[in-house]
This record gives sequence, C-alpha cells and structure tokens, in this order.
Amino acid sequence: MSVSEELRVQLATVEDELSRLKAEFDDLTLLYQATIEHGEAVEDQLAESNLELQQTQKRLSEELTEATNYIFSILPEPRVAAPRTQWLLVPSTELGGDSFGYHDIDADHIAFYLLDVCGHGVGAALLSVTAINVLRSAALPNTDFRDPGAVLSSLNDAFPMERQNNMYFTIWYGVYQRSSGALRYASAGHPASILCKKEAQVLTLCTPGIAIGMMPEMSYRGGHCVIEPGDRLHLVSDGTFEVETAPGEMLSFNDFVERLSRADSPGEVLEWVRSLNGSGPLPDDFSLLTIDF
Amino acid sequence: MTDLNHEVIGGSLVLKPSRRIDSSTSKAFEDAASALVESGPKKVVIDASDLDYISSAGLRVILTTAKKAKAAGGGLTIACASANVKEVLSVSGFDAIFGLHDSVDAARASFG
Repeated sequence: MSVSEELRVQLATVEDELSRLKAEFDDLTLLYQATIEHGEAVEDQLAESNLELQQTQKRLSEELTEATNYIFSILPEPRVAAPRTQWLLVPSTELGGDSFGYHDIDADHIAFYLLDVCGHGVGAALLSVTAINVLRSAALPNTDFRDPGAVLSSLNDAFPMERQNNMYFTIWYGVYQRSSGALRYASAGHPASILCKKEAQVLTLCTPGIAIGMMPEMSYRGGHCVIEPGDRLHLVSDGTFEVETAPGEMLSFNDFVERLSRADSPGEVLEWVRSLNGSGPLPDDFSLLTIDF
Repeated sequence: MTDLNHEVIGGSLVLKPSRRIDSSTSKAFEDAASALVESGPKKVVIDASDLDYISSAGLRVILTTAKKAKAAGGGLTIACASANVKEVLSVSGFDAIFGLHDSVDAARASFG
C-alpha cells in the first residue's frame, strides 16, 4: 500500500470515529436536556406537594390549637374564696389526657377531681373532657355525688374500655363538707393526693381500686379524713412526678411528696420537675391542683 | 420469633419481661404475649423478677394480655415483683385484681 493510500484509510477511520463520537454526543445532549426537563418537572411537583403539605399542616395545627383551647376553656377558674385553688396543667404534646375540675354539689359540699386518660393526643383528650363534663353536670344515673365510692362505680359502669376505643382513665375524686370539715375521697388506679396539714404533718390519701373502664362491675371503697383551716391538699397525675433523675432512675413518689410539701406554688413544682428532667418536653402531662382550706 | 423470655411450666405460660415495660417497649410485649397466649397455654404468669419499671403503658398491655387469656378460658397472675413494681401495681389496683405472688410456683398454684 502506498503512503497516500495508507493515509486515506487512516483518515476514513478517524472520520468514522468522529461521526460515532458526534452521534454519541448528540445522544448525550438529548439525554441531558431530557434530564433537566424531568428535573424541573419534579421540582415543580415537589413545590406543589410541599405547598399542599404546608396547608394541611397549618389546618391540622389550627384544629389542634382549637381543641386545646376548648380543653382549657372547660377547666375552672382558680377559686379566690375559701377553699382557694391554684393549678397548672402542661400537656406533654399539644393535647393530653389529663383534666380536672371542682364544683359545688350543694351549699355544704364541694367536689374536687383530677383524671388521667391513658395515652395522649386527640382520642385521650376527647374521653378526658367527656368524663369531666359528666362529673361537672352530675350526669350519672342514680348516683349520690357526695359519695366518692359510688361516683367511681358509676363512672366505671358508664365508661367500659371496650366501648371507649380501648381507653380507660385513672381518677382521684374527693368531696369536702364545709360544715364538718370532713373530706371523703376515693381513687381508681390514681396516685395518692397529698394533704399537708397546717402543723407540717404530710398525709397521702388514696384508696385501692383499678382504673375506670378496665374491668366491669367494680366497687370502689372510699376513705375519709378531717380538714382543718390552713391545711393544703394537692391533686396530681402520675406524669407530674414520673421523670428520670438519672438514666434508668425514676424520681420516687416520696421524694416528690417531700419537695411538693415545701413548695409555695404549682409553678415552683413544675420548675423543679423540669430541672430534673433535663431539656426537652416532659414525658407525660404535668397536672397539679392545689387547694388551700 | 419473639424476644420476650418465656417458658411453659406444667401447663402455665410464664412470661419474663426484662428491665422495663414502658411506652417504647409495651407494643412489642403486647404482640409477643398475644401470639404466645394464642398458641400456648392460657394460664399466664408474669414473672417480674427482671422487671425494674412498669409505666401506665405497661399496665395497659398486662391488662390486654389478661383479658385475652381470660377470654380463652385461662387467667393471668403476677409473681416476684420488686418493691418499685409492686408500688405501681398497688396504686393501679392490679395487685387486687390479678394477685401478687412471691414465687412462680405459688403463682401457678393459684390457678388451682
């Protein structure tokens, strides 16, 4: 083969290679453009979904706020006349299962109660306000609301867990008689209330009984004691003191009672429990109702 | 398969949960216990010797397990609870409903 022929062949090979590369380049350009277009479309879709998500989030959070406002609206105003009350309720999430109330049953008797529905969120809050409204409006058939044991038995009949989406609640219910100073109370699976006597003695008040709705046909025994002017009674939920003081180490009820009996206000107790819990929200609802006789 | 420690002793299902039953572990306990009760004996003993803490979420799953066992013709009782766990069981009224025993044998004997 002559030199010129050889060059021609080589040129042809290079031309082939060039056109192959050009075709490849065209393909890649097309692919690149398609990818960009696809990317832009995905971006648009994402922005749209994000907007929808934000709107849904906003609506849900407005509804949660509305529900929270309702729960706080049914909680009673602090009493300024004796017995005086102070309280704090801090849900661990937007909506908790704790609530409480107090009202005059008649001119001589006043009822105080605090309840804790298992779990958190909308479901627990719905049952919580339903139960509180039932107590407040005395809406239990054939029940003497001055008899705490009878009230808990009636509540247990009215709220079986099988008909409450498997939810149940613990409660402490007490009735104070002004004329005699007698306090009658009963509890269902609920932590004891703490009575700080004027002369510094501290009593815990609770009766044995399983949470409301867990088991059918339960009867609840009541307890009683005498209240004197200057005594102070605290109603709490378990979330108020169930915090870890160290990893795996829970605050004991006795330590809680000791600190509580020295506190001036519910806010002081909340601050102390928060300081033990470390940063972040408390693991459960914090509820504390303090009554000064 | 389940991580829940368990054994069958003379016709009773003995469940031995470890450390804590709280809101983060209760679902696993409930699922495991439910499957074991379904496939095994209906007389259930909770051996609480290794249990340090039980929260209200834990009580709830003990209750659902008890209801399941009872519905199947059996029952549930609790053995070897530490002082801390006993206190929670007593405040919740569970001690009176299910019974507390000092040993697994005593708990098993309570089924008659």
